[in-house]
This record gives sequence, structure tokens and C-alpha cells, in this order.
Amino acid sequence: MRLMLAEHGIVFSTRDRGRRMLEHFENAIVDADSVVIDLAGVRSISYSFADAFIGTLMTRSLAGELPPAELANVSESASRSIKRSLDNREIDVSRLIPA
Amino acid sequence: MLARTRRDSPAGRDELHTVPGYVSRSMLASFVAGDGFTIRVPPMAGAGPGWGEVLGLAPLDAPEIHIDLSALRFVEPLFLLRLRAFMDWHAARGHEVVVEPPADRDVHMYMSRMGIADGLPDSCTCPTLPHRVRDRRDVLIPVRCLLNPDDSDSLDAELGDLLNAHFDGPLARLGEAFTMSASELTDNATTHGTSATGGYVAAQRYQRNRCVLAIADTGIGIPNHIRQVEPWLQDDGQAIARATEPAITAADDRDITPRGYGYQHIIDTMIDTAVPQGQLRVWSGSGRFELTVRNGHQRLKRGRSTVARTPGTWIRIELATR
Repeated sequence: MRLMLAEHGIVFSTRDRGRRMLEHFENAIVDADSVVIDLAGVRSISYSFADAFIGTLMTRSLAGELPPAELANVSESASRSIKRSLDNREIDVSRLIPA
Repeated sequence: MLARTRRDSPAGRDELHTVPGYVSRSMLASFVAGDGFTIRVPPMAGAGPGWGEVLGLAPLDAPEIHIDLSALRFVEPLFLLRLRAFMDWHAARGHEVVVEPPADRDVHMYMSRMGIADGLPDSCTCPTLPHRVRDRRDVLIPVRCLLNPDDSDSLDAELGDLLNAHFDGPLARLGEAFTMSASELTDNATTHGTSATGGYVAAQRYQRNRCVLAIADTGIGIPNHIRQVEPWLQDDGQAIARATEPAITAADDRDITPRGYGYQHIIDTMIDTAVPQGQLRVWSGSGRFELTVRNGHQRLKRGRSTVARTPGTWIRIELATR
């Protein structure tokens, strides 16, 4: 299953929005074999949003609560926020975000 | 230079004659009496955030408050937030606030196109001038309140439009740092700075090489927030400096969620995107904090304390291409 984040905007700021985004997607992905979070067209993701949405999703995916997840079309800008979140959660970034 | 005096006018109002210097909350509070209260704002009060102390959120008993901006010669976004927060704060307490606009038409027009009176409470009066949409080309974010998640989401949509419309050409290299600053500080204001009046944000572009972002909240302030986890930080300036370090937060879920990275992320974005000139300034409690970045390198970082106390948290970020 592929989730196009840009369908919800191109700038994502708050932790609360990240939490709501994960809640929005959760029901749709819980029974999927795998999930791709596609960030094509997304211009900016704050650390707070990235951690609440992608960081939490990846943590729960690795814990088996959600399907395996990966990222696609991550801009250099978005990668800074996402990498910080995943590093803080001790998740192997290199596997998720292409160099 | 006018000396500070107190006199009862024939109308029964106490008037505060301001001097071109700092006016403390205690000085304002000492002149509360009578039917009304007038704050006469000095000509350059809008130029530097420190002058915003004139509009300190001191509790006032006067049912009607007059803000005389007639002498104002220059205004920038942070002063507008101060003014708007002042009006909202007093309106929420049943006070009427009447603003006498600047006599300088350019200053008055600037305030108008920055949306100072948009959504103003009914008990507040702030005359504005009519203007055309094209006159707002320098307005990145008009004065807006951040009260609920919908406000933050709307700001996200606006930031997206901004990136496409304004941050091209010479300003392109500032777009990421601007957006990241607005995003992280919005999260801070709506998460840690909650209050009845909420938070505020405004931003302006100056020609094609500089932009200023102002964001504020009237919450508990950074020093009080940080002292929930590090109570030994009694100096407010040191507390603010500490808050800009990674993983420093008093958020309830800090033990299970990696929080407290907002400020560091803003600073790192300025550095990583090699912003030619970046400045972050914070006012909260008696603390003052300043950090500068030049061409991808942090040049200055200092926190200090003053006598004046600023309720809430007030932040100004300036980014320039040279």
C-alpha cells in the first residue's frame, strides 16, 4: 500500500498533526502486507511532525504492531527531519532513506 | 525628551508620558486609576522587540485602555504581535481597548496590510486603511492567532503557498530555514505555550533579500517550562539557552518520545542550508537569548537576564541573503 503524503499538503508542522495523520492512516494500513510512505511533492516536514508520524509509525512497525514500512521520494529537506527522529529512536536510517 | 509625569486630565484619565526609554510593567501598573488609561507609544517602539515592554500584559483595572500610536514611525512584525496580544488579553478580561493609529500613513498602511485588526474582538477598536491585494506582496504571514489545531493546519497550507510564491530567486536559499522555523515554533507555541489567548505569528519579506518571522505565545514561558525538569536553573537567560539544546523538554511524554529538538532543528537547518545570515532571538520571563548563524556556522549564542519580565514567549527570526 502506498500513501501519498502530498495529498494532505506540502508543509507539515506540528506534532499534533503528525499524531492525527498516523491515526488517519492507521485503519487503512493495519491489514496491509507492507506500506510505502511516498513523500513526492512534499516541501517541508518539521522534526516534530516527522517524529509523531513517521518516527512513531516506524517504531510500531518494527514492533510488529503495524506492517513493514518504508519511505520513498524523500527530499533532502525532509530527510533531515526524518533522520533526526529515526536516529533518536535508534532506528537504522540507512535502510529507510536512500543515501 | 519628555520627563515622566502623572497628571489627571480634565477627562479624568491618568496619562503616562513615556520617555524614549524602557517602561516597566511596574511603572505602568502604578498609573492605573480613573476612568481610562493611556499608553503613549514612542516613535521607534515598533523597531525593536524590547520596546514591546510598553505593552506588557500587566493587569489593569481601567475598563477602557487607550493606546496612542500616533507618534509611531516604524513597526515590525514582533511589535504587531505584542499589540494584538495586548488587545486580545484585555478584551478577554472585559476591557475596551481603543487604538489611535499612527499619524504616519505608511506605518498605518503597513499595519493594515499586515492584518492587525483581522478578527479583532468586538471590544477593541483599531482603525485600518483600505488596501489592495497587490499591496500585500511583502506580507508573508499576516498577523494570525493560533488557538486550535485547525489554525496550525491552515498555517501549514499558507506556508506551502509561501514557498512557491515568495522563496524564489535570491530568497530561495532562505525558504527551508524559514519554513522549518515557522513549523517548529508553531508546534512549540501550540504545545507548550497554551493559554486562553493562544499564540500569534506574523512574517514579512523585506525587498528580495531578507525576511522576518515573529511568533509568540502567552503561556507559562520557557524558563518556567524548563524549571519543571531542571529547577536549579533560576536564571531565566540560562534557562532559555538550555531549552535550545537537544532533548531538553518538560513535555509529559518525554520519557517515551524523543522530544525537545525543535530549537536545535531550527539552528541546524540554518547551518545545513548555509543561510548567509540568520538570527534567532527569544524573550521570555526575564531571560533574553540570541543566536546568530553566518554562512553555515554558528557565530554567537548567549543567554542573559534583565530586570524586565516578559510574560509568555516571544521569538523573532531574521534571515538574510547577505
